[in-house]
Amino acid sequence: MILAQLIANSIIIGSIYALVAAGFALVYSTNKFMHFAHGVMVAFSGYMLFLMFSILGVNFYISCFITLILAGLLGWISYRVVYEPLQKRKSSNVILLIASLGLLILLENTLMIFFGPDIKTINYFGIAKGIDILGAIVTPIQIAIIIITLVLLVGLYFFMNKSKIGRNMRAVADNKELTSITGINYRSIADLSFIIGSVLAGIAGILIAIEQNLTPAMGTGLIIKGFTGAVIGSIMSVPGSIIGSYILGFAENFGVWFLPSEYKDAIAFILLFIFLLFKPNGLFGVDKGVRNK
Amino acid sequence: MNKKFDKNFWYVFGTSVGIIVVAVLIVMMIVDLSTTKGLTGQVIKNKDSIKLGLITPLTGDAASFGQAELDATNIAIDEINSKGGVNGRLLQLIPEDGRCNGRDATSAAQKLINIDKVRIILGGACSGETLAIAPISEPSKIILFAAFSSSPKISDAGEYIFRNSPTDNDWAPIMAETLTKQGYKKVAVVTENTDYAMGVRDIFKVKFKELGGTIVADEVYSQGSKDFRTQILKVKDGNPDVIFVNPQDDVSGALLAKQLRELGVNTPFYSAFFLSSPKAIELAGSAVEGATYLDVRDLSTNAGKALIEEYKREKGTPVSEFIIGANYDRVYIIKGALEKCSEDTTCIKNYLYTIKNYEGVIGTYGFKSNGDMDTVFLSMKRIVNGTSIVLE
Repeated sequence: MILAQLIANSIIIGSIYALVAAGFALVYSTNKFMHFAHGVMVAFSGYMLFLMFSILGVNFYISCFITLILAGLLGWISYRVVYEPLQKRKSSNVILLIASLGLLILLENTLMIFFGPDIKTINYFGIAKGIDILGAIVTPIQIAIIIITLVLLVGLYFFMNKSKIGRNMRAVADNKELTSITGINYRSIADLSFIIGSVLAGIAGILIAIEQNLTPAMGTGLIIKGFTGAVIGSIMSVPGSIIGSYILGFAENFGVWFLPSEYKDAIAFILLFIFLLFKPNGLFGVDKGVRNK
Repeated sequence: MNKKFDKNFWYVFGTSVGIIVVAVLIVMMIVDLSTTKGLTGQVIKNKDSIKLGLITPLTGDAASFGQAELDATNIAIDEINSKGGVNGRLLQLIPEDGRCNGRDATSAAQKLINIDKVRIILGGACSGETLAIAPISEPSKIILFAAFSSSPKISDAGEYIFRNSPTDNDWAPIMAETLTKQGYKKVAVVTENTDYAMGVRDIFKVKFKELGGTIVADEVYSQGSKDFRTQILKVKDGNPDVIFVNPQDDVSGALLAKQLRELGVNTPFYSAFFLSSPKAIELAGSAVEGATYLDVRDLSTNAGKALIEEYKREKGTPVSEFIIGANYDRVYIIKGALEKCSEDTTCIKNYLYTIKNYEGVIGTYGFKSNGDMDTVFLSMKRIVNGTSIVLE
């Protein structure tokens, strides 16, 4: 029973990390820079849902749909307005990294100006006692989180591997210069990576808004966990980063079962350091290029 | 040709969108600052005003308490200023965000002391803030006056440090006694990892064991946590007959309560007053129903009742009546000190130690020789149908 519950807890939190990590790794592998402002896309989407559903009273599912469109739009705008001009000036990756941190802080504070610093909640489904599944108690929302995440990530996998655009994205991730010779438009691939990545973050934002609550600064904590998950798997590979996120979820929850619970966050950071020091390419990474399987 | 146009178009488009966004943000910030008191407090350009610093959590999970502190302090300062200030000088409040942690409180204190040159700091709210400010304010002989910090460590943090809130030594043992009296033998404690809550945990554990009880689970979570499921699993595994929920603020406490009930834990729980805030009830709903908690007494003085009425009219339901009252009293106690001593902090310190039987809105009290409040007002309450009822 305890084992089942621990596994369930790990999968729930791993799913949230995986949604954040998948988008982050997608942007990193196609564009080769750290888009830390990715975290704020999660917070932004949560707040957009709050704005439309709780303040304006729009139907819940329509609100979700509009939220995702806005999330994709914000991701796209942040690429076109912030990153692309810097790339054009041949800025180094460090500059882009700093720009992404700046964007993170700017957007978090913008959310704070509009919505205030206090916690917002969307209690659409109310509080339900969980359902017993093989000895683990899981609420319907958490089951939805797991299913939605898995469906999305499997869909993303097939999109990346079976569709023409997906294959082009992987080609760009593998070698940007070479693909430009073959006539693949890097710019539209970059646009697409930001849009898809941000929509994934938007879905994470909606799920977190329903399951937990919203604060303007929530994105920073999430991007750290998503980044850690991506580093464990492989920051260059979307499937790798997803598996890495689940590993992080399991490590945190099983670690805390045996260790005093104040070490929960420390576990994530210790893993991050171990991987950065000894296996910077992650479990599924290769030394050169990208791996997609 | 076409491509070139396309490139230029997007570049111009992107740049203009960027400029427009930035311009809109700047305009909004200016409008925001000029129309609300917000974080800037009162904008008084009077050179001769007396500056008071306020350090309290204005963002983060504890923000509702910080906002209550700011609102109540502003009510008192507005009253005093509208009656001509202190000895003809207006009071000017400079609020800073301590974010309920030592790091941010430290930089806020440095700013207030070195840049704004304040001589009196109201705060912090969280014990972690106050304990971090004390080593900075004490050597400069700056008065530090907390209305919401209860860690026992503050008692000996310095000579210039005062508070009109009860300490954890006052209430944590009472909690242990209450649980024992109710017949509970096995308790699970879930604590937020902050100076205040960890202090409460230590005092509570010692007292509860002394009274013959056992601690079957003792879990800690870090500030800002949103997922307590594995800690709860350990609580469940200990099979307690009561749970002591020991958070730093209403948000994490409510989320913890919610997840406890979701995971099918129906053990009764006891807590400090955090679970009864409007935010907690909104967040946790039915999960906090039936929770019993030890609270500082509601305002029962006539002046206190009038203050709460005014607060409800202007700001809505207070997060805790006591906080409003303690903050309001704090400003008036400082006003008395300023009338006597101006900004001479040694004189203010000596004056504050002489206060006994001060008639404040929270009751009649004075200060002990360590700067703590000499009277304690506590009552046991329970949440029934979403509202608090007093048990004794």
